[in-house]
Amino acid sequence: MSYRSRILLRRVVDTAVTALIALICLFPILWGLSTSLKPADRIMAYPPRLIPETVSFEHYQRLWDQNILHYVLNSVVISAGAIALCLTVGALAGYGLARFAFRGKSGVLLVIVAVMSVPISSLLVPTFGFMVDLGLLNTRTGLVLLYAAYELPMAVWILQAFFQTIPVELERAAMIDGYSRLEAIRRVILPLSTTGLVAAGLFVLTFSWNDFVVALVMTTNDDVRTLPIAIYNFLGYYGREWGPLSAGAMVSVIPLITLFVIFQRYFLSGVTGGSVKG
Amino acid sequence: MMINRSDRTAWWLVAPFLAMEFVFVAIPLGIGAFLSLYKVDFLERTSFVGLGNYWAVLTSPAVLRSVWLTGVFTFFALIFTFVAGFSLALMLERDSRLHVFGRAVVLVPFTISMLVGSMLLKWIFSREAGLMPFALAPFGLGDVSILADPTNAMAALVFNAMWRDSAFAMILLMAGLKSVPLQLYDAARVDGAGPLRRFVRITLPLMRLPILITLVRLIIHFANILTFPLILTGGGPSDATNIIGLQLYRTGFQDYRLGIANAFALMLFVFNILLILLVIRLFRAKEQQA
Amino acid sequence: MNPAQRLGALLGALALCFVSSMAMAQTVTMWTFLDPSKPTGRDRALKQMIDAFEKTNPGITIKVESQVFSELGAKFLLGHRTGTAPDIIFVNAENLGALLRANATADLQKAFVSAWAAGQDADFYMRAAWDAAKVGDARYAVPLFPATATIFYRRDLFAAAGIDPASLKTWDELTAAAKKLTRDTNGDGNPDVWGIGAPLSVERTAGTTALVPMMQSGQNEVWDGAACKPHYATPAGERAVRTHAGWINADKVMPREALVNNTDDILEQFAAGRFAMVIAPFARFENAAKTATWDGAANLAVMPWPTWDGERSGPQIVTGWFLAAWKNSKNLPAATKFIDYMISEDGVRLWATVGGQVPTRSSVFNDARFQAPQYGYMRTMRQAWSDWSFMLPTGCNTARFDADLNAAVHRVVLGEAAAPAALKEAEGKFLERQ
Repeated sequence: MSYRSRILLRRVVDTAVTALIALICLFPILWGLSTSLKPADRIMAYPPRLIPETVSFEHYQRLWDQNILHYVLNSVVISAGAIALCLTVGALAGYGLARFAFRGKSGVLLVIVAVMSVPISSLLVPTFGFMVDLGLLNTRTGLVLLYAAYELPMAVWILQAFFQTIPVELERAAMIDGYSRLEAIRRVILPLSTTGLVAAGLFVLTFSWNDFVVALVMTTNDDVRTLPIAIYNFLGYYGREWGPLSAGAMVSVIPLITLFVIFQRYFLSGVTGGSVKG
Repeated sequence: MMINRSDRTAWWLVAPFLAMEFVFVAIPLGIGAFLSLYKVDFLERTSFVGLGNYWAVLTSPAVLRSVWLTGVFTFFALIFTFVAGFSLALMLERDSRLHVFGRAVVLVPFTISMLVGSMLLKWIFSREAGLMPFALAPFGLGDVSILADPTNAMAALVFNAMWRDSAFAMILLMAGLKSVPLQLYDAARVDGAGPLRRFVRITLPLMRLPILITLVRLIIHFANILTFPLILTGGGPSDATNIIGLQLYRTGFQDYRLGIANAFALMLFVFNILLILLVIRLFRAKEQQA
Repeated sequence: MNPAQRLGALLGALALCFVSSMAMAQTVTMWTFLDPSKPTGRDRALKQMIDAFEKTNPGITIKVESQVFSELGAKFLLGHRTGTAPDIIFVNAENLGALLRANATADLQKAFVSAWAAGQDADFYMRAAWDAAKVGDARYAVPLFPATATIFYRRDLFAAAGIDPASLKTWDELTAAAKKLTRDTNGDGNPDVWGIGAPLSVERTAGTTALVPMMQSGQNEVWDGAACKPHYATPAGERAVRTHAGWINADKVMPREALVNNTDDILEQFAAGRFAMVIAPFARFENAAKTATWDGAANLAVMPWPTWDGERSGPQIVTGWFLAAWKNSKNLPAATKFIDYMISEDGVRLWATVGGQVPTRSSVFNDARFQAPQYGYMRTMRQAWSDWSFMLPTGCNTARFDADLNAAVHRVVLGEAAAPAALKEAEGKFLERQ
């Protein structure tokens, strides 16, 4: 076989395998998309049809009528708050862990591992009572704080690994120039850490954007509810409404996928940074 | 290396993090630990039972069975997800247009809500309403029920895990791959090392830490997972997919037996930590050998 | 305290001020799974009811906070323990026991029922539901939407198979009919239309199998309510479990997938035309007719349970939704006043006409409009309820008892255990929760 045809064969195989992977990954979601576009009385038709015979936007219309924008907005605000808080607190801690060998450091590392190992569902009931005491029940702030606390270990882990790849000399120089340590972090370290911050931020986003268990327990009124709860509500007492349910899922997944596609390059190089020391 | 300036600065830096975890994780955990010593019915603390709840959990056949099932699920989910994630990472590492597309596609199941993802899978797998029977019929498997057979249901659960979380493994591993110096491969190629040899001799040793991180994260994730079994199989048929996360959720939120649930959760928590330490220990031992 | 927490505490304090200032203006908060801003009949009925009530009671505002139905009970209990519960809640029968045991709701007998004209309470013809939350002289909840599991069937398929639904008096006759109705239309060797479907999954919301009616009609009591002891492992229990397992294994009138199907799954497949009969909650009737891919309006009907001997129709477990007021409510008089209104004749009439619910009062049921043919299914159910209905033992923790019984069927179907042993297991699970 000539070199040329080997290259060609390789490309064909590569494309075929990628296509197969794409099929497996996307099939359920395409099924959801297809369902969201079918008229209500065709959704359950048997045998099932992947391509809708007639396309209808009634379910999206219904989401709109039920003020889906309100829930999207809540989700945006809460996710943004959780990301901001998580990155601020996480960057400080990550920096501390990356740059200092202090007494009790292994204890802090253990905290990271420990928090990651807590089954969150078991925290819900004690947390509920506690949030009431703090006056944080039914507030966006409450959800922001909880999401940040649950995702901080991941953020600290990613960021401390990333900071280790940044040469110490840079901030040392900045501090000799008269910057305080916090200023040095802000002016020197953070601008060099975009990829790490994006990676950590996307993990926080995935969690806070999709969470429904925590939000379900910690909110009781619509003012502060997030998108997943609005979607979950279509699993009602009088039946499961696949149309609006899948339309809602599409609405919720599109912004997230867009962000991941835009940022994926950062994301990939940011996750474990240069933590591979061999 | 590290600047050993002062412990105090370091503590100030990590203090906000620790404070957050203390308030929103440690305190609720502490309340849970306190409740685990009581009989709690309908969310009301009634009588002190000491370690009775722990004993009740340890001697409950349902719990023991769920522990075993969780072991089975975690083992297979871990192997499949890890291998799939690693293969994807290796395959899609180079930045061609096709691969960028491939990565985006693999990320989709990871970014969609677990609830919706599992519901769609359940529908597709369902023999009476789904699409799977049509896909299987040409192979003479039109009569196979995926969700109503104990073994197949567990396999479906593992598939759900792999479908969603391979991307997660891929991300963590690909990031590691990207930092393996390409010169090493070139040198090995010049020495006549084949792809397999290059993988075993260069990639694997240099990837130790990313692999460790990936394994630990996946193990914790799988050992505690609730959404997959809750939505996809409901723990059935019989109790074939009733894994710990689901058993715990039902004890607390559906049976209103919070004392027991808290004792159970606390033991699970300790078990998780031990498991992680064990994995880290194993890796350290390997590292010293190598 | 870091700034974020301080901010949180501040916001919390603000929220509290807000809540207490609203309390001055008599705002009654109600948790329900309905949502007055939605377009369905029940939601619109609630909206009209609130408007009418607020007009006649200018000092009171009703604030609805919609909740996910499956979490309503647990969240109310949490709210009760932490002092944040709403004034009024919708509670389903499955959670009634929990609320009674937690002593979380107010006595409505004292609040308004005792002030009713004589004979008014006899208007609630479903006595089991009316007295479900009665403890001594007190009454801690009143029925709103009665529900029960029953058999949905398709008139067209019955007619095509030449079966008269009224002739199915015993379970054996039902099984025989199911065999006739199971058909392989495309000749691939697998049935495309099954005779009967039941949600047998072990999820909590599955609880609508025929197991309890079968057991109840074959023995005296399935539960000893006073001691909270189940009597599952009885000859009647074994017969019930074997019949279910037989539908799947021997008779092949029900797909094995039913083991993992919940009510939603079963009803969706029914809507898709995969079943001739299904066991489903009566409350889903309207929705099932609407989503059917066949002519639901013309062909969907219900029948009462058969029994073993066929001498009368089988016992209906009364489930569904009740109304209760939170014991520690600061607006208790206003809250109970609205509850009183929601179950008054006017209220029940609204729920029935706009909301499509079965009237809970005889006086409303006797309205001329409910004699029309399209309300035939309601009359069938009313008859069945009046014939023989019973409540779950509300004094016990009945959470997930249906899942336990379904699991027993699984054991037998999968060949993991014999019926008596499987039922013993189910008894054990029930006892463990008490």
